[in-house]
Amino acid sequence: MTAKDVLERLAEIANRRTAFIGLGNRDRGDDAVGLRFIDDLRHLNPNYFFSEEQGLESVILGIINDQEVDDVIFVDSCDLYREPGEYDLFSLESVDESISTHKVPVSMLMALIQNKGKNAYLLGIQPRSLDLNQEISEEIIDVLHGIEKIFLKNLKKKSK
Amino acid sequence: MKEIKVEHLARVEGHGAITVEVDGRKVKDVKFEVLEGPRLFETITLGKTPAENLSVVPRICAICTLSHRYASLRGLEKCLDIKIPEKTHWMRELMLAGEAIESHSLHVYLLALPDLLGYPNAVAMVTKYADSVVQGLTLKKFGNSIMELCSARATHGENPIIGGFGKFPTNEKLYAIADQAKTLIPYAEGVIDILGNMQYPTFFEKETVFACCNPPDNQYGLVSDEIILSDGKKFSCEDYTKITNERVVPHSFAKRSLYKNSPFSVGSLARVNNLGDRLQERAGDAYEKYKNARWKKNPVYNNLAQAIELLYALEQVPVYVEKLVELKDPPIVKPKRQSGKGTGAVEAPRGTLYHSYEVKDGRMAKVDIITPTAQNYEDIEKYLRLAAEYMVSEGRKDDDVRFQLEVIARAYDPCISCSAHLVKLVRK
Repeated sequence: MTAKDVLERLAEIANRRTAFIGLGNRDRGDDAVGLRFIDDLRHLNPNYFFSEEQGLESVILGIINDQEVDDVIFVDSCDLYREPGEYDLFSLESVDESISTHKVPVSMLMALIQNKGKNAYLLGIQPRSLDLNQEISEEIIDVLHGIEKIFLKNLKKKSK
Repeated sequence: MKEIKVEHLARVEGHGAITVEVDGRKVKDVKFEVLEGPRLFETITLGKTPAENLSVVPRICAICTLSHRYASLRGLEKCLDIKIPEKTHWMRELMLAGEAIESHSLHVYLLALPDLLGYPNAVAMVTKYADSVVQGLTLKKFGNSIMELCSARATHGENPIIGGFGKFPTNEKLYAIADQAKTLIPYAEGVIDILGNMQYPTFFEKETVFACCNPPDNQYGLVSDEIILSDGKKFSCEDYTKITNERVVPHSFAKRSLYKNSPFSVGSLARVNNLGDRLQERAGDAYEKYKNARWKKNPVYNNLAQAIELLYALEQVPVYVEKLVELKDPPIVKPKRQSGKGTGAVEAPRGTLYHSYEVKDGRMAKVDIITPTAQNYEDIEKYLRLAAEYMVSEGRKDDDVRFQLEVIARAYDPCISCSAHLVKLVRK
């Protein structure tokens, strides 16, 4: 999808009852982009903005039993083999994940969410750097703010 | 000559590869390569205080963090001549049970079941086994909650300290986890039945030696100063090097261990093989129901052994809670000396973990840490070779060879990052 297509799709999803889950590591530069997305928007409704830091299994068990949620978007930095700051929205079928024994696979969680009748997506943002002890790159922050505007606009509209 | 490679072994922690060199229908070589770079934890804390060492070394692993902390505490407290009070002992047992529940539920339900049920990945499994996935997540969450209760954080908690705990949980919170543990027992029994009634491949079976901690009073457990081997030998954990005999191989960054020049295994299957007769209650019933001689020669049964230990750990939670609520919160025990030597051994989810230290004048002078996966590498490679030789001689397709080798390696639940990562299958 092009950036414009993604933003239009996100605006469409944001008009429904959507939960967001930020993934990543705050110690590794742009890998924190998903967590920052949640930090920035949690004030809109803490019941629908979650971070990996809250324990993924707890978050997922809550969401799959929440009748008020139709869509779930995981937000994370992803190696899309594109330029830093480019982003895309993926369905489960497109997620090919390297799985570790130390984490619940995100693709499995997406599959479980779909099995429970909800839609699951991954919003992946191409990082500039994942170096240790770095802040998120300014260009990635700018991109994130652009994406956040879509949700701010639509979620505020919905809450009125 | 060609090589069959599994370039990156999925569903394990860290970077590893399996390479099988094949000539016609003969296997020339099998290498289990650990590609993870050395992490140098044993030198980071030299010259630091024991308390600083205790905060740093659990960072070796995010899932066995409390096993590392417990083994470190046992080693350091020997160095400093600290005898811990009974309540501190039971809290540490409880935290280890929580870690076993968290780690085993993740591996058994979410990582091993797809292999054993014949699905290419976890996603494909979800359609039919969504309830099992939910159970696995529920158990993992519960294990995390115990770890958080005992250590103040789900990962790298700092509440367990030298000589005791910063704070003990309230009885109300302890009773709550005891009650929840009882409600989760049917989940563990269910997955034991799934795993116990499966057919397992036989073509790579061969007996091996198993090593684990030997808890006192003929009890099943995860902590001891004595190591018991399936050949009948017993060693003080202070003599761990007589078991581990570490060496370096050219194709791997991780050190390898050989006992009497032969590979051996540690982990759930080792514990259940060596100590299974000591299991009580429902875990004992499950052991009696499913035990068979093939457990001594087929590492894929490690998944079933983990499920039995999951049940054991759930049953132990109320036992530990009953002991804890009866005892008063003890003060932190101060060191009696500032110099000494000592080794701590505990059973991490993946097997026996050693932390051996020397402290001189209040500073770390020697640190030696041997992880379970490092001890298992030689046995993993042995079983990979046996399996590869059989499958290649039968002319099986490369993809099938790759898949079976990955299943064997994954059954060990290896933690490659901790040991210093898994499968390349290369036909030459």
